[in-house]
Amino acid sequence: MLKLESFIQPRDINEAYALLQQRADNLLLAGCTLSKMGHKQGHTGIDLSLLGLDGIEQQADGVHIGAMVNLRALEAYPALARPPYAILAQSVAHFGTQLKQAITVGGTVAAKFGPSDLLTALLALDAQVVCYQAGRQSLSAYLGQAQPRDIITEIVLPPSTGRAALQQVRNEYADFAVLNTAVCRDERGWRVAVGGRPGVAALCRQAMQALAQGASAQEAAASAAAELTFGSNMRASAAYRKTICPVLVRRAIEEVQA
Amino acid sequence: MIVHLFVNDRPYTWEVGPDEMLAHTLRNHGFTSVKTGCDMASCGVCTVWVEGKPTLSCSVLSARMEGKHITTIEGVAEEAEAFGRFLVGEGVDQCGYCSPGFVLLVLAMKRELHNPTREQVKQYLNGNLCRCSGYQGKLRAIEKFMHIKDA
Repeated sequence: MLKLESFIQPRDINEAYALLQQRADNLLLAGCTLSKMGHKQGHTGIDLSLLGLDGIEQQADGVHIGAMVNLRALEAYPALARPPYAILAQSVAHFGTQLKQAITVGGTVAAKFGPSDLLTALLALDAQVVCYQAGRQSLSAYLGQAQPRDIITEIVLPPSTGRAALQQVRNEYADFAVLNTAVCRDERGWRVAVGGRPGVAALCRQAMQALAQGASAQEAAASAAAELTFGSNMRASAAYRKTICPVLVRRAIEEVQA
Repeated sequence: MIVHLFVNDRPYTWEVGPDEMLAHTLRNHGFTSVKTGCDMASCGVCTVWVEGKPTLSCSVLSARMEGKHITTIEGVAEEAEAFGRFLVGEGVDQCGYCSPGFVLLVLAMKRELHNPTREQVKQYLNGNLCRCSGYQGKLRAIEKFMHIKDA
């Protein structure tokens, strides 16, 4: 359920940012799917759809994905079809066509949505988040810290010629994942991310260090499960998640190493 | 607030609330072929086209529809009826509630996918639930309608 007192469609990001700062209960509106599924109440809805944030462009420093790019556009972009970026399309494959049309990359990042497979995949790909005022930071830092009220303008994927793998467990095909993991190895080393804990995706730094020092897939996977915290919800218990975590991480590492 | 939009190529000017969803707006203005099911973007029953793209109208703000072209099942009636004959031909049990959204999604798929496999068809349609048909008859109907031969 989404409740608003008023709705504005700014055409200028300065205006959108100023509106956001005016009241603590002014809300940014991206895809609106998560807002509609939950109970979101605000004063003014600030629609981002006319700000020109829906483009994807390959530049020298990587692939720049506008915050309002929807998952349909993301999975269809040719440069993201090759390894390691192909795990992005894989991470959203279970959504219905219409839902992919609505969900935006920036909205998913801003919501720090725990079960999101896309966030886990972006984390493993070393994605960077660019905000209007705060500038660029790693997705890992963005997810791990409270953020000031700001507007995400784009997500940047650094250039990579590595390999990546995504492993997920879900109760039903189109349901949220019980647990997901993404592993990438490229020019910048290993990255191991686990999400759906049900907390938001996080990097397993000890596991990454272990891999860099030559640990086996099994050892690194055990390290990942040991350094993370897990919780229980309607989909699975913390104990179950902790049990399957090293299995999924090991499979993903082995898939990258194959 | 006032929104100017097009439904099935006819212009309309409507007053909508800031948080009013398109499904409710359309139904309040007589387009009752647009159904509401889960009301939270999970079942696909509310599917309409916005600018030709299949969209969950229960989760789209009407206020965002300024200048947009919306298509309901009435806007593609001839083609929908043609596909409907394939559903009848396969003996697909239908209460009819999910049908408008489902048919709109199938017609959108026909425009978007060229020579899809059965798996691609299933993937495209996985956002729409049907509690009556068990899906197999629908898939046969789609394959005949779109002249699909499995890979």
